[in-house]
Amino acid sequence: MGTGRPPAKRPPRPPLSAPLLLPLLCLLVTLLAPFARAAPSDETYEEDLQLTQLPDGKVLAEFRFLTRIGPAALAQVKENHYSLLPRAIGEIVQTFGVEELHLTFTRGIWNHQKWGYSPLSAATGVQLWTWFNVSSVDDQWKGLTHALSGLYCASLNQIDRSSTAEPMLSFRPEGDYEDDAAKDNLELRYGSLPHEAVCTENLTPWTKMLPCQTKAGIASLFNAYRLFDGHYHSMGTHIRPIAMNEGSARGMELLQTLSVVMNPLRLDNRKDWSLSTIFERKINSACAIAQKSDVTVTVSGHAGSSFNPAPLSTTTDKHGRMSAQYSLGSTPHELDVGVQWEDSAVDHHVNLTRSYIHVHRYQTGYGGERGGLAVDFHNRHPTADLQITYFETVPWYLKLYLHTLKAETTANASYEVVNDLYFQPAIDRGRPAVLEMALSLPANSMTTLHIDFDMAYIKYTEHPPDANRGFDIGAAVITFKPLDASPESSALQRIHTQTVLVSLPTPDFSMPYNVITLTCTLIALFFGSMFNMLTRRFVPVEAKL
Amino acid sequence: MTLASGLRRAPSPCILPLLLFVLLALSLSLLPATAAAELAEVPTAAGDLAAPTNKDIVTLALWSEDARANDEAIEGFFSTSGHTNNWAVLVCTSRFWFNYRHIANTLSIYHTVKRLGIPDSNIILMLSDDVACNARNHFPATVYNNAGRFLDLYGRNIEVDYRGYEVTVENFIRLLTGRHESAVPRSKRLLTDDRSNILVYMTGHGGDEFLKFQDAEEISSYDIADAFGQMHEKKRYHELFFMIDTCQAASMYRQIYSPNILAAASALKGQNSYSHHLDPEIGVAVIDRFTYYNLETLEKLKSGDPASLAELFASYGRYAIASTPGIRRDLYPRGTETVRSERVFK
Repeated sequence: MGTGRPPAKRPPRPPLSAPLLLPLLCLLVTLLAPFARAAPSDETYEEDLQLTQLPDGKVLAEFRFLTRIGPAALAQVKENHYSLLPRAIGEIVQTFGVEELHLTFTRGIWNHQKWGYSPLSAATGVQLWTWFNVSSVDDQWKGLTHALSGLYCASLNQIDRSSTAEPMLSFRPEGDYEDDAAKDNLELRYGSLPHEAVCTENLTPWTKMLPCQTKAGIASLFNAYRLFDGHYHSMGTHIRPIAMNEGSARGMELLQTLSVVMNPLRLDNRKDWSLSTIFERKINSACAIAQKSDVTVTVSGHAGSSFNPAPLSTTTDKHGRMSAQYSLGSTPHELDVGVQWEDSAVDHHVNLTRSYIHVHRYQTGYGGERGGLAVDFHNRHPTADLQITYFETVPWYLKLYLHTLKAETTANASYEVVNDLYFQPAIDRGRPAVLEMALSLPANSMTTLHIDFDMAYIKYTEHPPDANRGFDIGAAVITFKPLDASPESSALQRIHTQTVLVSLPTPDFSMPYNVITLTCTLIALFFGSMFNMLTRRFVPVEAKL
Repeated sequence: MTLASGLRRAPSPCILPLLLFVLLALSLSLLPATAAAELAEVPTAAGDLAAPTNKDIVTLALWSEDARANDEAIEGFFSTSGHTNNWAVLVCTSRFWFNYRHIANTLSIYHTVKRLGIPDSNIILMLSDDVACNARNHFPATVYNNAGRFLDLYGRNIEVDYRGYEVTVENFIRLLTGRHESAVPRSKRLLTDDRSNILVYMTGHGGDEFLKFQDAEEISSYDIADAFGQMHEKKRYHELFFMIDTCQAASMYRQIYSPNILAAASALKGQNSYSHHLDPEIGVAVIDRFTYYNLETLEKLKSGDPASLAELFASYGRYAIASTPGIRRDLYPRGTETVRSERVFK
């Protein structure tokens, strides 16, 4: 307004007086009250932290954040009214017709030989499997992977057609369904990214889904500097339908899990630990929304350990492990639980009684043309034969030959190891090869599966930028029923093998440039001299004397 | 019968406008004289100026007591350049651990623009490797740009939109020009319009008229110029500030032909760009010189700081940076003196 004339004055408008405003507000509130929705009461949130000191001194921290959405709240979600369920999750579930979703981000390998089995153990990298209740599953799967990639800052969209499998035997819907027919109508897709980085940018969106984020409750222990300094960490998001009360209506369960293995011995060379030494954080307050927030500390049955501070109660299980219970609700002050030891001895022995099945997968052969994939299944149980399901998905550029599949066992040679086999050959750039087998492992034996493959010559543009690093083959999944499970229980245990790094024949990427320069030189020499010879006129020069 | 009734009703629509006109005339005559005069004055005031700006109209509408105070308030609220939103595209094109400094460069600018007020939803961050959680990193989940390790650039709240193998020339061009598959989520799109000011920052290894992506492919200066050209045609930016830190960086902005683009580069054609210093505990160089000296100025900027871009450019020291920074102003008629640095990076 540099050049214009100053604006004319105008009497100020009288402000709305307070005595007038108050009745107006009251009127508004009374008018709107019947329309305001009460928060649905069938939503619950619980959190739980289990800290276990493993025999070798490492500390396993398992965080579980469980949100249950009842049928009434779920109906409101369909009208875009959210309270406990994160909107991002709700939208994804509705848009893509997701019935069940299991997504894990993992760094490191769960050492089941030493650490036993954990229901939270997952394959290295990113693993995603989803049950859909829609017909156009392939489109929905693509949309889902893209949406999740945006949500969790990961390259999940790289799970494309050529790396998506449809397992037949290993996975079953885990939620509560009306009947088996409802389960049979679902379609399953499985994909994994074995070489995906997992870092703060994946953790941050994941923690934002928690009702108290990292501000209160057990999640206030999340210190990225320490979480990503562990030997193993895995964070998961699991969605499944649940039956919450009598009746056919189904609710939804959102379970967020994070497990991390820390090593107090590495930090200060002692077995003693507390939350403040391994996370550099204490739990300052409980999450007010949580109905239950418990902390349990478990140690193996070594003498000479003491819990600090004194727990509410302690229990001892049948394996002789002692657990101490704490509750955040009953602790007015900050909680810094820990264990102190009189001795500093650690036990590096492999625990055979708890992890009787052990699997090791590796590549065989040499050279850049052929190879083989071998899997050793150890059943260390002295008396019981064990039934397992083995699921392997191999990218199309490793061309498996089913006729070379061999199963050998160190037990009785006439023992039938393979009970069932499902094989889906790969299509180049279209789908991976899927090998799924129901195996019976004889007691106290080692069974070896072996299959040969040819390595494909892939186009030079299909190589990743770090082509000489090799290609990661995702972990195989072994599913079995735990021995101590009751016969009617449907609980399954999964263990994952190592990923395998395979070197495909890698071209010399600078070769085209070499060829071009060499060819150009030759052409220049040949053409140049020929042209010179042909066009030059040779004239005798008289010598001047 | 229907025809007759239609005829009978026909005159009534003609009466309505007449009635309205009478009412309007009445209300005009009843208006206070001052207000009517002002209403009449507006066109004359606008006539004095070649074109009335938003600012003037808003000032009038506010009926202010003190013109100058309001002017300043409006100046602070509306941008003088006519943009309404800010975006940043920050790209690190180098893979592998020893290129730690390129990730640190990019994250430093990310930190600056976020500090000055661009939200994560308006920042597209492309990092072609994961150095924070790299097994070689002695300080897990951190990236530092200084051997003093004062500030963890990775922090607790970072959103990386494209990472790892996804950082390709194709994805970068698709991002700029907005040609995506329908499934691509919003967080991976540059949702700009003709009122958006965009900062495009790139760093990596380059040469004469090219920049390498992940040691596997190159983007040429023509690709960038054409992408910006297409962005202009599709009205995807209002003003664009292109900043690049690589060897022979000035060759990268040479082919740009679209209007309202300002470019700054770390080195002229034929010159190398150098790293600034090394952290012995991390084991690699942690930042490049050009970015380092930009940050010296930018990190001191506060919201509302009057420092102009010209001042930022003047702060470039040829001996400190060890190369001659290039600045291209010919496509940017507004001049850098009036552009506040804080606005460009916000």
